[in-house]
Amino acid sequence: MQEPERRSDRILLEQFRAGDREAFGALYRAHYPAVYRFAFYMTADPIRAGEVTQDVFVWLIHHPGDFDAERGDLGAFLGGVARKFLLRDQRAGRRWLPFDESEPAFHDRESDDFACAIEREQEAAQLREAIAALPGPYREAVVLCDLESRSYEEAAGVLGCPTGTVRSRLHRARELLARKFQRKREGQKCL
Amino acid sequence: MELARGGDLESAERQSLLLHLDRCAECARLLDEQRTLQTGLDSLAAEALPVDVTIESRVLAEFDRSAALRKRTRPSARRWVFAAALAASIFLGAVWILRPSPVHPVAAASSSESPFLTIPYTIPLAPEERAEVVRMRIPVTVLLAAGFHVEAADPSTSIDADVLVSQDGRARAIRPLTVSIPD
Repeated sequence: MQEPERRSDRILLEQFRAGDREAFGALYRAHYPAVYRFAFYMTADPIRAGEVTQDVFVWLIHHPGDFDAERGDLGAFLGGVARKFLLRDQRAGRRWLPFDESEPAFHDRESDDFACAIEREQEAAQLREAIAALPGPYREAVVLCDLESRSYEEAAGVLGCPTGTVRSRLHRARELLARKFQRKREGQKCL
Repeated sequence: MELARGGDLESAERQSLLLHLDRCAECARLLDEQRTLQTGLDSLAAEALPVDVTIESRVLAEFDRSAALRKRTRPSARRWVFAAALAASIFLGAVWILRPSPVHPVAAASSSESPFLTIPYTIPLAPEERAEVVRMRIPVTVLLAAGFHVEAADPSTSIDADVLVSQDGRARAIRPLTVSIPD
């Protein structure tokens, strides 16, 4: 996270802690996409991802003093909170649903040729499936570093592990992912 | 992998990797896989995820609810003043109750046990006659005039005494509290 964004977060946090609704709304809008994306790729379920996102921000409302700006940025902190909610769900035996291939579309169809758009959506769906099939720790590394563009350090902050662990998990995850993705693509071409 | 991700590589390192890729088909295939994957990941990362506006409204509603709750539970200044006054009264009450009892003048006779002495030349109370006890401060000279023999150093002083007053308002007996009056 850039320094100006971090500073802006600090100011908004202070205002939010003082009871400023607008400041909380601004924090929500700034961090909602990353939290949702993380939950979405970890659960492979848009509805559950929305629930986790809501849980994270409701938690923040009730624990405004738990974030220490000296220990990292708010985005990584919220990622860590989201991860705890996801792990709690997992432990409770809640099954994460696979991506539905019939609804892969978050894509703007208007600007593309239809056939091209279909192909891209199919590829995206295959990649989502491959990500969803990764073991949890590898999936977390891919989502944080590749899809949320977080640095290794930030990802380590979210996951609560050393930077080297993030690197090695990401390396292994990408190997697995490339193999699975390639296989799916080749399977698709054969059809 | 860093090559596929477009990461930072030293130019010498990059050059040697590219040379190796020219000779090694396996590594070239792996790089190709990683590049394809990277393209796919980049496009997923750029994907606009759906925005569920109801989440924001629900979260903000929770913020409002929580703020209202905090406001209700936060004691106002008036409550603080009330609490302080209550604490002060309890403290003062405790001090009053636990204060050391004042030193009373030593009674010459035990007030509760000494009997009432009938005032000379008055009719004694009948057993069924109602009367009341009134505590008074009586000059010694009055007692002397009434016929009591009072052992007081200074006859101009007064003594405390319980006086038995009958229904007709007349004093019938007396029980001195601070000096002794021999029978």
